[in-house]
Amino acid sequence: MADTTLTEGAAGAPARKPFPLAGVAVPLLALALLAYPFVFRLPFQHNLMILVFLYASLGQAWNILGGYAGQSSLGHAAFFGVGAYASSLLLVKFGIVPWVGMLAGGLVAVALSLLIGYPSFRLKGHYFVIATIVLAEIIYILFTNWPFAGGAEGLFLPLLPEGVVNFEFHSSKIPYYYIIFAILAVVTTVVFFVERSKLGFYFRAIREDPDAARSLGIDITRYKLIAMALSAFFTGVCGTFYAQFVLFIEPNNSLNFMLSVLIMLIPVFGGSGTLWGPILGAFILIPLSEFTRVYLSGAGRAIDLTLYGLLIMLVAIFEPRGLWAVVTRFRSRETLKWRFWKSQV
Amino acid sequence: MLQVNDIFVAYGGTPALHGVSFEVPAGQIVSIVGSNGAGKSTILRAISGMLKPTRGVIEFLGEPIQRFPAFRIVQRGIAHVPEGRRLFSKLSVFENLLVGAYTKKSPTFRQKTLEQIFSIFPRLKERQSQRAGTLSGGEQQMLAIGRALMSEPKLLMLDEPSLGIMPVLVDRLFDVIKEINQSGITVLLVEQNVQRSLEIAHRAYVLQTGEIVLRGTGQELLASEQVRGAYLGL
Repeated sequence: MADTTLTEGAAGAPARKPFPLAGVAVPLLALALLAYPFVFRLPFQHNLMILVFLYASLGQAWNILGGYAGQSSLGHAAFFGVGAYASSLLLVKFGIVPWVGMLAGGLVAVALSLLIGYPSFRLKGHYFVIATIVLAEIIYILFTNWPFAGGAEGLFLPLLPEGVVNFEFHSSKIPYYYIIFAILAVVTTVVFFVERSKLGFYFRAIREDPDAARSLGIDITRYKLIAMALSAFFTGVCGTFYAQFVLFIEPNNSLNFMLSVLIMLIPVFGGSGTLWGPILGAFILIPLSEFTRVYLSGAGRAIDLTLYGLLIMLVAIFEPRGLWAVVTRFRSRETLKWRFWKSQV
Repeated sequence: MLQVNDIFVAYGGTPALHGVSFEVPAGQIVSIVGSNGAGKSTILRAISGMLKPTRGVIEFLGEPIQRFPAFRIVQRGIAHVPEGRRLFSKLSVFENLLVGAYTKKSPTFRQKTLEQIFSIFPRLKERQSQRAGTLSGGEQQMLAIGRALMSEPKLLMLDEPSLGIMPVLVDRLFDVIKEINQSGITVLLVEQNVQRSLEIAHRAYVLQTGEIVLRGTGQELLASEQVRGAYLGL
């Protein structure tokens, strides 16, 4: 297999492989998170982590398109919303299990993304961002005025006997915790493999210099659409999860512009185009917003956004590549020390 | 091999090429020389499908390609090394080359091409895990050419390859271009270094404000009064 020799060529050359993140830190962290709901038993603590995982998954999904392929979208709420509405309408109107609805939600989001992507990928940079905002607003207005989908009043999901099949849990939030944890694990795994695959090279090549990529024979529209479809699918799946979690959806909680902003903010803050950036971003920004909301009640809503603004400014000034870049900087210094120490022994 | 017939290209409303015709016979090195803004890069961009001519025909191996999207033209066997190199500076040297092999799906072929490129540019092999942005200007140009060669082109188009390279390396660069040509790849070269590019060219064209004003063999143009006066300052 010549292909293996190709990759060995890259890996065999002196690479700076730092601290065994994959081997030690990740399994440890995963174990800690699996044990979390039994160590911290308050519903608030469960709720907090569910939101962290939800937004980390959303940020990770955004990251595929915005981080790796370099096409910043400010309209991801549209994919989230149609994912939420697809499964909810299937459940409310046709009695179809939300698990099927989740798949349907993801696929509807993919269909929408291709519909939006094909024309708007002709636009570059800021123009693409504006197109995504506008298209998401159109979806928002459509759902607000669509009586079948509950219009502006939204949809209440029926209270069904709790259990895995019905995707509803009333006595404890722990099942939701594990479901969204699994979703996050899946998206992160997908990003992990995309990052290392040829697909990932092409995405990054398009981000670095679309014209050069084009002149090398890459059909850039096709790859942007692949990135967008992957991104939209997982965003739609998160939408279904959210609908089942809160059992009520309306345009304002699942399609609004602030949601799009947050989905973008988390990976940008944590480090877009990196595997761990969106997760790091969610672990910092979501608790921040939840705690300010708890301790400052009504006033908290504005405070968390103010703090976000402040943090973003700090990141922009000191490390525009996001917080993860700060971590890797520290990490590579540690590895240097470690190598030095090893060479002395 | 390549036949360009009476093409017109405009940026917005401003015409850049008016009725340019020339041909590139298989196996040769063809140079297009001319001053800044004459439309040299525009010709290459039109051939590689980055720009669409408003009129005229571009035929490659007997097939009109002027309406093809850029990626299809690369599949047909034309590689374009754009002006200013346009490397993926945050990707490694190796990854840049791999992206260049996009149109070649067979891993054995890819491996073979990679080895050929490393034999032409041993420096690239040494630096394969380094980020492209950290290479010197000359090395970057070598990488840009190597990346284009990864698609195993029949026709290689080079846009100002000697730009921003230290003079010692310019000689080496022109040697490499000759070497590539001798291995059977046709070369279309656009250069401001008129002297050097006419020296190695089998055939050459002088482009002035979007029109071809002079044509001949490289030696003929080097000897012509017009070229010597206007471009060589003699």
